[in-house]
Amino acid sequence: MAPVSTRLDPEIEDAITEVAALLRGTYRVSHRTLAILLLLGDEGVGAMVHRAEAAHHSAIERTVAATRQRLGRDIDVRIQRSRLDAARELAGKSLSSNTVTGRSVAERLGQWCARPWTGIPILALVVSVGLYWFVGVFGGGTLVELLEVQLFEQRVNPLVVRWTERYIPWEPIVKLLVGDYGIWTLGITYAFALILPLVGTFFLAFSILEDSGYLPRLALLVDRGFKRLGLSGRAVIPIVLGFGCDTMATIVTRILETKRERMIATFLLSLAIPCSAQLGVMTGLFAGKPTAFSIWLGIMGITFLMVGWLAAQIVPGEAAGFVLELPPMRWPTLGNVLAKTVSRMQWYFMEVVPLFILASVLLWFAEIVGALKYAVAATYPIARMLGLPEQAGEAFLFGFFRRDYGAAGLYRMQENHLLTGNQELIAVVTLTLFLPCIAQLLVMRRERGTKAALAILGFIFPFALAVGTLLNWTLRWLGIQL
Amino acid sequence: MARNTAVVEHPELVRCTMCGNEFSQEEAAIACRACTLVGGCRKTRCPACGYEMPEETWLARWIRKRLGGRKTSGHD
Repeated sequence: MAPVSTRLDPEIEDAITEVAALLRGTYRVSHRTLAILLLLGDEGVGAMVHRAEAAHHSAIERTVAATRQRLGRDIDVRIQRSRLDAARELAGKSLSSNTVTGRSVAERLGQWCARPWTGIPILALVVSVGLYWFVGVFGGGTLVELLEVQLFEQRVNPLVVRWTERYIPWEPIVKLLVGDYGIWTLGITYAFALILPLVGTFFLAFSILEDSGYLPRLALLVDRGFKRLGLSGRAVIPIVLGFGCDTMATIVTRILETKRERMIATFLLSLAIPCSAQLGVMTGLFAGKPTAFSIWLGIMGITFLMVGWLAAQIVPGEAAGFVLELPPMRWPTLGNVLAKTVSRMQWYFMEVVPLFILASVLLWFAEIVGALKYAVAATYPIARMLGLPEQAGEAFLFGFFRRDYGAAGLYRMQENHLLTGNQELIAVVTLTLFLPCIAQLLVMRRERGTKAALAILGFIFPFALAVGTLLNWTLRWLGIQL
Repeated sequence: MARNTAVVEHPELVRCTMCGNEFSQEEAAIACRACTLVGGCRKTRCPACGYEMPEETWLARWIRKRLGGRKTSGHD
């Protein structure tokens, strides 16, 4: 078989030769490989060469920097393309197939998912069927009705309350367990009766998408749009993970190449990406109200794009290039999908149940010492400003612990018919824009520094309230009743 | 469309659901080294693209073994 050329395009080959000629040290890989990795901006190799080439590392770094500047940010794409061409050439020479050649259904579907004209309608279909109908209507409507109303409220909770009152003689302990903010009546009921069906359906839908190979195509689809926000398609990874857990996704922003990208992605995750539990509860709130769901989706989309674009103007620098290998589009396997869903649910509950119990204990303690009524009263002006009933302030206070905890509070208000359609939308939009939880604030401070974390926080709270207030005025002014 | 059950030549390897990269737990551990949580998050990170998958729990492993499917996260 004739040898396959793995030569890159001439301009890059010249640059590689120039950099490789400057390397003097002894390495376990060839100077050519090192030169390629240096040109690709590999930080680990950069540090290794810096140590090994003590005498003249500055000359190497100058040459690499000048070459990268000259070749522009396409360098990694051009290298990757040359490698792919070589791999295709090799495969063409060494493999033969008896099957009729031509693109399979999976290949065609994969291409449709990644191209704007077909990819955007497919994305709209995924959001409406996967998120709205499956998570919102089925999870938030049917399953919550079964679990929360028919099982917990009508059967389990009255039994638990009766037994607790019968066997525990101390009033404060009874309140701690089954009071208004009790560990059972609030923490456990929220976690298992409300959030379990919502995150369960969300994780199931997400696992189907993940197992089918849709996510990398989504990354490709949004790459061009993300560049306008100062991000590359690679940022889809932390953004998609943010729909699972924003705190983890903030740590994953480390995979982004530039400090600028990391900063913008962290900011957008804090502001406009609801986490799985929050997304589940909020979609559940909109079950049977497709107009309100669409407005919420539109507001979050516009906020994401506008704030991202503004951040890209304020934070200087260029968007990095993006190369991602596309695995084939496949039919999801039941075993994989269920295994992933169960893993995620177990992981979620291990994290969330202790926090919900802690929040219940803190609220109970604040009620016992009489501080809760002052804290709740402090939220009344916010609720009034947003045109919401005062009790909604309590949900915002809960939302300080975790946004999903607050959203579950709104869900309860909706069940008790304490919110109109407009108020539901305003409350959900405002709560979505808040910072997801205290854990994210801590991780954000750790990853981006105190100054950046405070700046993000300083923007988010007034912005969320301003958007909520503006939405309230707009709905009134237009005379819209949802 | 093909089912997502590629031939398992190295069953100990994990396949990333974002980029399709196959990696060992040792490689995943290297990818986690720089993270604040180093292993405390019950997730597996792909060393190629950085995508994180939840570590496979005993219940998930039990389900996958009975229903079939390719390991996409976690430890055995």
